[in-house]
Amino acid sequence: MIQATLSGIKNLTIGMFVTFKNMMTKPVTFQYPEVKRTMPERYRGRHFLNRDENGLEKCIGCSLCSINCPVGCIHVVAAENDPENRVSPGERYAEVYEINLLRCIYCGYCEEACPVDAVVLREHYELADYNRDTYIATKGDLLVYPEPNQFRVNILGNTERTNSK
Amino acid sequence: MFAFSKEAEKKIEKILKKYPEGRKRSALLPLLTLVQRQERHVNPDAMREIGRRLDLSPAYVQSVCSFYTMYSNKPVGKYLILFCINISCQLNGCDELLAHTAKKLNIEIGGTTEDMKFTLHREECLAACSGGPMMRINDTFYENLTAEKIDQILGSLD
Amino acid sequence: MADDQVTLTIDDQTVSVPKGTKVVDAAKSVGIEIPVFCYHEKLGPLGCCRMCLVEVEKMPKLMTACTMDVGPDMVVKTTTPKVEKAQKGVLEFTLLNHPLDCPVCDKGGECPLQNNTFKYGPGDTRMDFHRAENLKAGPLSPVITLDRERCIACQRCTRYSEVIEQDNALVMHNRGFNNEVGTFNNEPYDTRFSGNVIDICPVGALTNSQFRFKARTWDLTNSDTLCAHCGCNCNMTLGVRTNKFMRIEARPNDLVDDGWICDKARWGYDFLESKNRLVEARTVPDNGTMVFSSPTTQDAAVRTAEAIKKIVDEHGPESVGFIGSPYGTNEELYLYQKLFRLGFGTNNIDHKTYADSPGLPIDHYDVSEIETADLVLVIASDPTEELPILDLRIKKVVTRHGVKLAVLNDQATLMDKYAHLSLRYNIGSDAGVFAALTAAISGEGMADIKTTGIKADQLKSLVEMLRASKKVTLIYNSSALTGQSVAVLKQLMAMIKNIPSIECGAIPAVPHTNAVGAMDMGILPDYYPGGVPVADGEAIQQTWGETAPTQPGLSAMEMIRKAESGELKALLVYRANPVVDFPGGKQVEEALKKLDLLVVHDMFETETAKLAHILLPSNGPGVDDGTTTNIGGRVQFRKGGLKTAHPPDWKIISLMANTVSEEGDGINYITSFSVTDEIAKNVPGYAEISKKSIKKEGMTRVSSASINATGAVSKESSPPKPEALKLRIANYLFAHNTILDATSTLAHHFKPSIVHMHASDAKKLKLKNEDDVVVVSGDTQVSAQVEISNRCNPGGVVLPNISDEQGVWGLANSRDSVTWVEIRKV
Repeated sequence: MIQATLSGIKNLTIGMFVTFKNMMTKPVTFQYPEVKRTMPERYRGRHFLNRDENGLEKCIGCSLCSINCPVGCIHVVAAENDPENRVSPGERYAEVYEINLLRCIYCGYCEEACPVDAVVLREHYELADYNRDTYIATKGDLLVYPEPNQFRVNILGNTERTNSK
Repeated sequence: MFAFSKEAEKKIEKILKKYPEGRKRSALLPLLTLVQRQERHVNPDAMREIGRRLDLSPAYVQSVCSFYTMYSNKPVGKYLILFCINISCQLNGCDELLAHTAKKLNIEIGGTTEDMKFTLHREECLAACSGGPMMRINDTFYENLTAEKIDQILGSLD
Repeated sequence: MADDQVTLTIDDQTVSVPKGTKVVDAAKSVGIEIPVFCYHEKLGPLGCCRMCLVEVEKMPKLMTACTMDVGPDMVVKTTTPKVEKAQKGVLEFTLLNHPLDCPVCDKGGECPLQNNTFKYGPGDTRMDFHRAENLKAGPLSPVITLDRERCIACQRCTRYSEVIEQDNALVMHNRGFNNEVGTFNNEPYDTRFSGNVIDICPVGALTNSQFRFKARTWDLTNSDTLCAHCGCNCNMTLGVRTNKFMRIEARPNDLVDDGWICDKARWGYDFLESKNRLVEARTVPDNGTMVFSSPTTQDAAVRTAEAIKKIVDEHGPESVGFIGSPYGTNEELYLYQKLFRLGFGTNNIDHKTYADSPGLPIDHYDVSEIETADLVLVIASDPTEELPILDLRIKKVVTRHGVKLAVLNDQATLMDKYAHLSLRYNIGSDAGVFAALTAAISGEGMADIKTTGIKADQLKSLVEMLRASKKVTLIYNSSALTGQSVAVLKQLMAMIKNIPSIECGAIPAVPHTNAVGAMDMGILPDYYPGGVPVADGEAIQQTWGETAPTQPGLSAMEMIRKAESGELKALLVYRANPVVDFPGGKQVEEALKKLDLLVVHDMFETETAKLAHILLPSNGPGVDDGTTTNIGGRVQFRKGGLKTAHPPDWKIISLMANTVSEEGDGINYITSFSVTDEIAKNVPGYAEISKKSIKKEGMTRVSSASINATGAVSKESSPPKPEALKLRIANYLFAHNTILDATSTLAHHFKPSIVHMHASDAKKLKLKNEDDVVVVSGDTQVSAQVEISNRCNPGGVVLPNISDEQGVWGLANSRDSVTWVEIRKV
């Protein structure tokens, strides 16, 4: 009887060992959305369009991203720069640059194809929304280029920038 | 507006006679030379006039004119100095002599003196390698040049 | 012939090609690609880019394959290490100063330099100096952008200007590394054919300004279509992206266009998105029974058919008429004539105001036959302004194939420069000239040609030229002839045919897109499709049934006159603008106003459309599919590229036909080819035409035989006033009209109104160059500036039709005789 009890305690200890051990350590999970995860630098999340050091758009509207896109989710319409009022440093710029984020598979081929390092996939992963229309990321959405995790989900479930309010 | 001088007209008549019917365009270089001599450059008006006479497009005349270094698009001085800079002359020190000439005339290479007397140009081989360094002033060759000789030649021209 | 064939070996393959072929082309014929930049098969060899170096056995050095003729037993190798090294070296040099801006370059994706570098080039460059800086993207003309940095000085464009266009407007300036493409004094390069340099440029140095940065080439949906401007029907590619028109490129078809298109073809398609387009059907509400608001096109079509049917029932079939257009496709025109003949029982069908009849007494030559002829006789035609690609073809054969050219015209044209014999007859005396020529050829001796303005010895030398030739191609423009002289011309053709030593054919060079097709489709009051005359009741009833009308109908001008007198009640005008383009001007407008029902089926808000009671929108070229027949009788498929919600024209017409058909639904065509199949069945000469047979290069239809037309030489009309002059209305390629509107890319080609006079007339009237005058005929005045150009013989003036606004056709009363005008100084 005693032997059985002892053996039970022993087995229980063995069985609970991992549990007890992990009670003492820091948890792997964290309190999302209060706490955000820092993604690895090369994580392929949401797209952004870069600007150069003069504040001009880097994108030259060459459409190489769009032709490389395996799912065809990028639409580019280029236009000629007005030398007086430049949008990008070269001869041409993207007048329309749209990415359908619902169709995108986040493969990063666009980033790889870009000859001027204009389009990049960053660590932003909070892309959930209630409205399909917002998933067509236009140039205005893509040119923001914030630092990592400056987004948060507001009470309505929409993504917004932390410093916007 | 451009017009050929009377003497030039006479020469043109002679030149055109040289070429058979339907081969008028062969007279292009002689006519350009006439204009260059008369005006010391070939301007677009003259090109148009030559084109009209030889039944060529003015663009074609300009194309030929810009190919040859004998024709210039800005007026050149009374004396056009072409200084050979090709290998034989170079080995014999044409570079220093060219610099010397430019300094003496107080112009850049390719420039014209203010009194429109001299224009100095570099030129590739003028086919007088045996006498290098050499230069050509208008139609005359001056060979085996030295700095003193150049001073003397330039001084003798008025 | 075996003697003309040369057999050689290229990369272990035995090739047999005609003598004189270049090695590059010989290799191409067996699928071996030798890379080239400067070589273009239409321009001939130059050998300046050195890209085509190949190894030839027994030759010490590498040879340029583009300048080397094939030789017997030649052994050519294109892939040896030596060749590959040379190709790498050449490309490294070519790329020394070529900027790396492929991502922004419009040529990117279809660039021979890109492709050759990818295939044969070195992976890297040893160039570590600055690249040469030069003009980046400047305008060479309002429609062409020149980027001198990208230019590799292959001279394709300048040789095009020299060899093909033959005006030497584009040349190389300077030499060595300063060599650059340019025009005289940097003037714009705006010729009629300038756009082709864009297609042949192997880099992005010459690009289309209209297409600049609009799309990448791989984004375009290209449809193989035809040009809808003139009767040449050149093949071209219509590039569309997201259902928006992007650009036009040439699509070489040697049998039609020889690989070139004119600038009107390339940039004259702004009308696809013009503001003046009719986009919806409209009706005028206060027109009696036809009150309905904003109908759908189908609605409007049904109501149109019902309204015309009602008028037919009330006033008889003679009270309705149809004015078609030589710009419609065969399918559209076929269906319309079927609707009016079988649906409404009338032969009041026409498409033109000049005299002509289908069929030729001699062969109908295809355009390519010019190349094998030894005499080309151009009659009353001005190919440069009317059929530009024909102009290039004539220039080519005359200057390079040794073909003789004779011109018989009442006005000076650019063809005169190339002509071996150029005869200029007095305006309006064409019939007299043709009759005299017929008499001279038949050996009846010289007729009296004093009044024609041509000297007897000139006519004699023309006859000698004709008699000395083995193969003659006649090019004639019946729309530029007066009265019935086209019939006299056909008698002349029949006479030439009688000479056994001459093989003779003709090309009816009427400028409109489908003028030949319109005649073939029976848009004529006295001929059924295929040139079957209405008198041939048996043949007609066999094909078209018992009810087909066999009374000759009214011609277009007669319809206008009957409309004025009130006998014609209803008129359907399809893609024509009688108010502007018909002789009569104001009178035509007044006549059309008197109609009970005027239906206009058109692409634009034209002057005629403004008078319409019912307006039906037409999709037209670029949108609708259909076939057209070019001046050479070649039937080709014109594919649409843009999509629209509107029904195509053939659907609208068959809807009308079904509405009036007694059998109810009638025939339902599925595609435009269903109509083509019916044409093949019902139209003599088109039996072989089908979707399959016209697929690649099109197919010539069989020309109908001509019905012996009788045309007598009418007496010269005498001037109403001693100072009156005879008027010749000439064509201008870039006329400002509904097709080329004010916003057109080609607006820089628009010209002011100019009246060309002979020096002696000008002297008589005391007029100087650049005097402002009005050309007066009756109540109509056209203001113009005088140009003393001796473009026609004394006693006449030439007035080019430069815009719709100018209203030159208002001066003419009819085309039956010559129009007399007065020139008054303002």
